[in-house]
Amino acid sequence: MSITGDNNAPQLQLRDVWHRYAAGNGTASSNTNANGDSGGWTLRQIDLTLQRGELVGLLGPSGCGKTTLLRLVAGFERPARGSVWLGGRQVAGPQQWLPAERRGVGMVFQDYALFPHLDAWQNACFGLRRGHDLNRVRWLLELLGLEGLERRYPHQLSGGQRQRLALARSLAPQPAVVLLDEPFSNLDVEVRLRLRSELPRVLGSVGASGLIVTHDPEEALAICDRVAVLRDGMLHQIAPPRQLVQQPATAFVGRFVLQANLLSASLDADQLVTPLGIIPAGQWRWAGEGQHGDGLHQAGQPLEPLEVMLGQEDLQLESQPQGEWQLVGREFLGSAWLAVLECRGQRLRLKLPLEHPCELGMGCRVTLRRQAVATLFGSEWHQTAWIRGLPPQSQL
Amino acid sequence: MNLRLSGRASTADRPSLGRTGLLLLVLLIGVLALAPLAALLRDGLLSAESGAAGPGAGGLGVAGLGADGDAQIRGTLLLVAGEGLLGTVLGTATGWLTAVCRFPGRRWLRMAQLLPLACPAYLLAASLIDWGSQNGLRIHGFWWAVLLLSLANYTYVFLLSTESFAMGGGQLLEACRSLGVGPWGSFWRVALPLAAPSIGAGVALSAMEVVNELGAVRLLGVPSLSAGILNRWQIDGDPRGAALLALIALAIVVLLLAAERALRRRSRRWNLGSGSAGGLVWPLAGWRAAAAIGVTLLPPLACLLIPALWILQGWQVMAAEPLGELLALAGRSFGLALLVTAITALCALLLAISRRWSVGPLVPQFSSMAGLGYGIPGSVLALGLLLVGGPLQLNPVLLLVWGYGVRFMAVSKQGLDAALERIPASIDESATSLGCSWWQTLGRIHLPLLRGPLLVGLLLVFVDVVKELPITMSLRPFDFDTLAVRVFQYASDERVGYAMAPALLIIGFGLVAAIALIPSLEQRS
Repeated sequence: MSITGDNNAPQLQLRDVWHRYAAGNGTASSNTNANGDSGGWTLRQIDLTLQRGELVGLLGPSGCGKTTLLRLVAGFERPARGSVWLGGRQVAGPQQWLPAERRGVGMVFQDYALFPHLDAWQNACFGLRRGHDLNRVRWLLELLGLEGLERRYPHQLSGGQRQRLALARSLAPQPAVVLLDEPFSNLDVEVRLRLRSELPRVLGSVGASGLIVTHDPEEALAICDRVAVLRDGMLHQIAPPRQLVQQPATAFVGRFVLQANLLSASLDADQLVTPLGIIPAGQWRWAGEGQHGDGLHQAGQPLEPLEVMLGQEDLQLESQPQGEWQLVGREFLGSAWLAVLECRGQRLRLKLPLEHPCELGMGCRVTLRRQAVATLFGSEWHQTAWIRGLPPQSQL
Repeated sequence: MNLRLSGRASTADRPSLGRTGLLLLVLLIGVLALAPLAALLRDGLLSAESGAAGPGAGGLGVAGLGADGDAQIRGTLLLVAGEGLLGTVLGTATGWLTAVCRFPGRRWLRMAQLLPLACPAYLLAASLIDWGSQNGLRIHGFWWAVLLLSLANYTYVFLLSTESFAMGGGQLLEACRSLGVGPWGSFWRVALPLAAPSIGAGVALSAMEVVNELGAVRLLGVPSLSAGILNRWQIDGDPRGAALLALIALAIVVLLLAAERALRRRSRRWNLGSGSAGGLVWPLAGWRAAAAIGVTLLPPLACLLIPALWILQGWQVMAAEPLGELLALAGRSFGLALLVTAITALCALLLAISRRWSVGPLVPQFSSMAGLGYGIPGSVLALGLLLVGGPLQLNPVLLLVWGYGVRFMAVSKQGLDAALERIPASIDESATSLGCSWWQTLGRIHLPLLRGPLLVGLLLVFVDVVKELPITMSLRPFDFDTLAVRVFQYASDERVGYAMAPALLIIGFGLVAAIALIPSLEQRS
């Protein structure tokens, strides 16, 4: 492809992209229209950049708009506002539109969309112009472990082979960007784990950037260079996996990505009020990390409802018949119990060692360990706090 | 069956009793459907033997059918070929454009493709010939027959092709686009090869209609098997010769049927079930949109305009026609249609359900054989029925109803079978596990789910009976005219003006049937 623009330009850029489906347009994922609060927008204010060779994950629950975002980049949907840039060239915008077939973007569909009347080789070569070098296809099939299967038809291939063929087909025309729509969701666990660890290697060896849609946080964190978390059409955070885990930007990121425990809390004259007890002013302090926390203590009045996120390691549990928390569910994880505790509408999920008593219905007391680290989320900000020691009296 | 000891049988017995009863009914339906064919085969083969043994008839014809027979066979084959070509082009183009392209009016134009179902070919021919003669244009001969038969029957190709385009459509076409392949490339390289079996099946279906066609080819003066059979039998008084011609027509139809079934199987195998429909992929603008509108608008428009122009020009003649006569005709047509509709619906339901519960080893075979009647040309079927019913002195109206039933059973059955297939077996099993007996499952699960297809099937059979010409022409008692017969007879007697009111009624009912099909068409897209 001859792309005008400089070589340092990002492979893909979305600038302030908004999207909504036309009413009555029976397009895929119309379920996203159901969100009454988003004003009909499936995507709002999306800014996203993909650097050369990068693999970025689009993570979110179903119906959050992640597939729509992918289809916008591919050219199957048009943004209502904002622009899409590929390799420094605008492909979608207010006065600009490049149809999908001329964008040179590879796409791997969720159910692969292999052509059932063509064999594996013909499928892989489908996007090549006449006279194109077929050695690359041969090399790709070899790279993906498909050599010897060239004459087979899609229905004669296993799920994993189909998936790899779909990837080979999308990579054959040498796209700079490959879009992958839940590529592993139709596979067995074992095959899924193997293929997903192959993906970064394959993309790396062909020098393509990838944008992968998934609803599985573990998958996104495992293989992506950066992860974009999407909810109700809004980007909550874009960060490398490590940063995402250590500094989740919103309560949703904490809950969905880290599956962390979040409890409602509030600040009352520098006292931190949580369901685990009231932590007096001297017992905790801001850790100085996070965003928008500066004006927080002014007049001690940020009295909006907060959420406090606590790590597994910061909580300890004793069984106590009169305890406020009740064990309402448990799962056997092999090496530990996962206990679900409830107290006045709040829930905690904790791992307990196997030797710990874990009877349904038993009462417990949950306390904070000494030197706990908590993250506090407001609606517009988040801050990490150090908590020293547990409070003497447990009260809400 | 004599196990019924007291009022209630044990729950374990009930299914088996029901099963035996069902099995017997299915066998009866199968015998009724196949008896005319069996009689025809016997007579036809006898006559072929005697024809081959006897010296007469000369060396020109096939098994002594003479030059006449040759012309009729050639005429039908050429019509099938010509209509097949034009019908393929029309049905594929309209199917593709309205399934995956976006242009102004697409939705309405998609529905409009059902309109030709309302205009039987003989009606188009009658009105066009008369309109032509009033305006100094002679409508006669082979090419006009190809054109009118294609217009009247391309909808079969359209329905199957458009389903295939819409199903494979979405994602596969998006995959094409992501690989840099545009509209034409995606059509020739992916959509068309994938839809080819469906298109082929549609062409085979429409070809069967062509073999069946009697009125249009007679009015246009094209020799055909269908007319040849009737002539030989009713005019020449040569039932053996007619049976021989009928066998040849049957052979053509068997080939078409086999092709249709094989192609459908193939199209099903290719359907990897990529569930999600991706909507309209190719937006058209400017001259392309205009061309798309033209291609999809012209055929249905022609089907409506031809009779409409004709009726507009001869309005006064129609108004002069006595109303009582029309009411009598309509009463006969509708009475027959209602009766046949009820019978076929019941039989189709029995067949579909006994097949699902596999009540006996032969049931699937019987069930599919009973559905073969739609392929048998009306005049062939009529001849077979006469061979069975003649010696038994059966009432001709009874024979007529029998004939309709055999021919249109498939129309009811097809929709039901397809709808039943879409209900997964696990649904039945879950009902059973929740304590439903088989007839409770039928009443509480299947019938409510099948109500839509059942009603559509009823309506289609009704309209088909009203439109039907060849069987009616062959079997009706003297002085027992229906709407369709009247249109044809007045047209051939060149008193066409008097055929207008019955024609209008037929088109009106046809339109109702076409509208009833819209929901199922919408489902396909």
